[in-house]
Amino acid sequence: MNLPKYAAIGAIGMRARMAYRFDVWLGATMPFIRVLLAYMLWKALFAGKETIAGFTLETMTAYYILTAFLARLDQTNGMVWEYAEDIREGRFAKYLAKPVNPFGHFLATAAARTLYVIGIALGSVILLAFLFRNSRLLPANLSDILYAAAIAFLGLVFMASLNWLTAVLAWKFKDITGFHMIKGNIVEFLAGTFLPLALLPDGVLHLMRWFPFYYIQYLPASLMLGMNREEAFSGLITIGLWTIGALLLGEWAWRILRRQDEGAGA
Amino acid sequence: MSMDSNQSRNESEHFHRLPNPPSSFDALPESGSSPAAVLLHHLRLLGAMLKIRLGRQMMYRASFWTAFFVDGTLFLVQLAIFSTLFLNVESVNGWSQEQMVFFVGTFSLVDGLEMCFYFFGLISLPEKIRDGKLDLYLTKPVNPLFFLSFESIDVGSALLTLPGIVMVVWATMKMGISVTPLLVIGYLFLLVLMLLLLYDLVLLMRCAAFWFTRTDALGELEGELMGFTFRVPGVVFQGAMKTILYVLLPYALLATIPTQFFTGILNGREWLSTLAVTLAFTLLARFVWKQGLKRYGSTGS
Amino acid sequence: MSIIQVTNLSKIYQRPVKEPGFKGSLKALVKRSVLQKKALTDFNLRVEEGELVGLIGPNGAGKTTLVKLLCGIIQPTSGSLDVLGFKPGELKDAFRRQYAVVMGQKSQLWWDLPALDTFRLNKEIYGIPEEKFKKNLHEYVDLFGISELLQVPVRNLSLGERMKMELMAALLHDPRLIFLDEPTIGLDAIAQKQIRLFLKEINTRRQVTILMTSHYMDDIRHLCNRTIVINEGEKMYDGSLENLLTRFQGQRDVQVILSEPVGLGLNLPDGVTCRERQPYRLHLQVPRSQVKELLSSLLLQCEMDDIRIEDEEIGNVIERIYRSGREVFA
Repeated sequence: MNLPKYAAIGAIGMRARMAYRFDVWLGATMPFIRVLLAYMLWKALFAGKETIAGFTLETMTAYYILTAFLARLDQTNGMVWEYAEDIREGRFAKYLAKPVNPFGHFLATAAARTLYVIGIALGSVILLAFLFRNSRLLPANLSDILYAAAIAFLGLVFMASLNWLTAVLAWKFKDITGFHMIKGNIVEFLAGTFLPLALLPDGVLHLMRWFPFYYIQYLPASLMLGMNREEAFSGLITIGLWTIGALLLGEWAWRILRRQDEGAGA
Repeated sequence: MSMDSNQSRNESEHFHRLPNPPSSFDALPESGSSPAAVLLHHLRLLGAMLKIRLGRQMMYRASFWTAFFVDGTLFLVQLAIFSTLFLNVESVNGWSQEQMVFFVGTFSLVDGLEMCFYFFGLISLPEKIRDGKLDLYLTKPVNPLFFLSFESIDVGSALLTLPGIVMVVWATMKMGISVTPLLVIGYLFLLVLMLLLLYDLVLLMRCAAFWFTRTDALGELEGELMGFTFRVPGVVFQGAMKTILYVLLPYALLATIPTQFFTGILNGREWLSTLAVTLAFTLLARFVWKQGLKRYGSTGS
Repeated sequence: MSIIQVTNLSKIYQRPVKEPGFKGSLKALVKRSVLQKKALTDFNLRVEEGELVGLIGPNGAGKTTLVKLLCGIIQPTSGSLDVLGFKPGELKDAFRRQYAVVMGQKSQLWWDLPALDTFRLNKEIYGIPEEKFKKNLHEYVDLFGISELLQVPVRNLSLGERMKMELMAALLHDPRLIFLDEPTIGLDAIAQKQIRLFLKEINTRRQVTILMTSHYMDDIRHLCNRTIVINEGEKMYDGSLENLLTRFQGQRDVQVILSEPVGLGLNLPDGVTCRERQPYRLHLQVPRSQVKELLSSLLLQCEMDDIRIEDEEIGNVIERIYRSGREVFA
């Protein structure tokens, strides 16, 4: 793969984002809103309780700060709309006409957008940790951090591939709105964005370890909090396999589905 | 020669020259005509728009049910979150599990009706602003906002109110509330009021597109607020947060207030503030929409 | 009274500007500068009922801005507007019921439904009585000969067919005034001709006032008895196309086929420019007043097989007018 080429693609994508300052500034406040709302909820729920499913109010808050950060890193959700529209309107040719791999183009753009938000999002985490005086955000041990980072990174690549797959389905189904939104709803729940998965019954939790969504936000956040440490290695392997599978499927899918194109928009 | 001129006369007769002012359209409510006539005209329009909409949805049978499934899964997810929470705690700020069920049921009612009537129309506004399609709405002799809001009625979404109704009825029976006509009327009135408030909120968010090209983050904010206020009653919030979610971004009112009324814990002050907030937001939304239209004409295409 | 009356109309747009590159992007995040663009300056116009007026001008000249102002879609920065006795910007229903607008690049038809469905919706929007609706529909369908296409989803129609439907949708409520923004854009020659014929019919038989913008000189030549040239927001000419051409078509195109190759020694009168010179062919451009002089000079100097004298192409003339800048000669 020709890296400078994809880096340039990423750079222009980043600038395109910054053209919309209102969106940029408002986007930066999102983690605060999410964490604040979660804090309010849990404060009410913890009334008269020390722990819920092994979480104290402090670890619970830390969990939401971490997942708000991780959720922010995946920027491919919105890209699905852009790509699906390009496909539907017959504008996908602009990617095909260039000497780049369209999937690679997608991933490069995604990486750029992630890099673009990472600084702001990290700032939010530090600010939030300070606001809540939350010491739980400082993990004890380096290997936990490395495991968490590696798993979260693979999770990002997996989500990007999944979203790419969703976008290219537009060749077959034209309107993928419903599918994309349903997928979004379910993934957010399974990833633990709304609730730490530890609150779920044991049987369900056990089943979810086989699926990739467990590793997108929940496990990295837990590891950072010093929880579920015994799952770190097996988690890395599991999400690694899922990610390789998703990448292969993503590369195969656009080549196959493209043939469904009737050259719409002529 | 004579053949030719004959033919053209025939054609022109066929074409009837018109008296210039369109005086023939008596059916129309002119300005100053009775409110009933205006209402009737708008109802007929609504009917025609609904027909168009159904026609379009039938064209794509797959997406006819899209909204239903999308919100259906959202509802199931909310239900899952809700039950997971209650696996771990017994009450939320003094609200019993039944009250919570009533609350979630009410929220699904508001949400389903919103989706059914105006949601899909309003969310298309930013795109119409960006690609200039709003032009067409402005040149029609109808209130453009009315046209835009109700052209995408989604009948499938009406089904989403069913689980809401079931939950509300179940919770009412469980709590042993004696249902009086006044209670029902008051509840329905508050539902309509909250639908109006939600309309204002959705519209205000979309109007941002008049000033800013990209408004994804606002949509995200809206989703976040809706999601949270769907899951927990407004009574959870305190202090500054309460002010924000009751007055500045009053999403927390939507299902909380009707629930409080029905379960007999809504006091006079809360009644008044609910009315005041709804009125204020309706005026604000109207004002912002008008300003937006002005702005629309000053940037050029 | 005039159907359109525009006095000292000006419109200024605000546009954000951003320096290129990453630094520019960062800067723009904090502070954004705005550029003012004059789209229309001190514009005056009067149109009488029943006129067919063509607006021409290069891209960004202000044609579309003028149409939008007249429709009430946008508001003027200064000056006054009176259309059909209304202030357009107030967007009164009674006003909007009396005009129609067709924008070549913005369709009012529902993409995935047959055009008839859009017509039915418009019937309700404009409150067209059923009888009148049927009568009008019938007439227009006859005129275009497209009855079988009414049931076909718009997305499956050709561009020309779509534009016909677009026009029908705009005309069903018997507007007194129609604005057409690039109605023939992208159409093939046959469809363009059909659209033109249709517009001519509407204008002459129904006395509908038409104001159209177009890039195609043929539209203007065949349709409009009055042409307005706009450039950079200012009116440069208002009158008949013929007058415009006599004034600006100062040159004639002369093509000569020679029976014997002519040497370099050929003498041409001053003022004649040679556009192309081949052994057996000459392509010359000559001021109108000098055509005679040129011909006699050529007859003396060489043997000719054929000679063709033509008007300069309209497109070239108009282009020259645009380029001539601010010179107003209305």
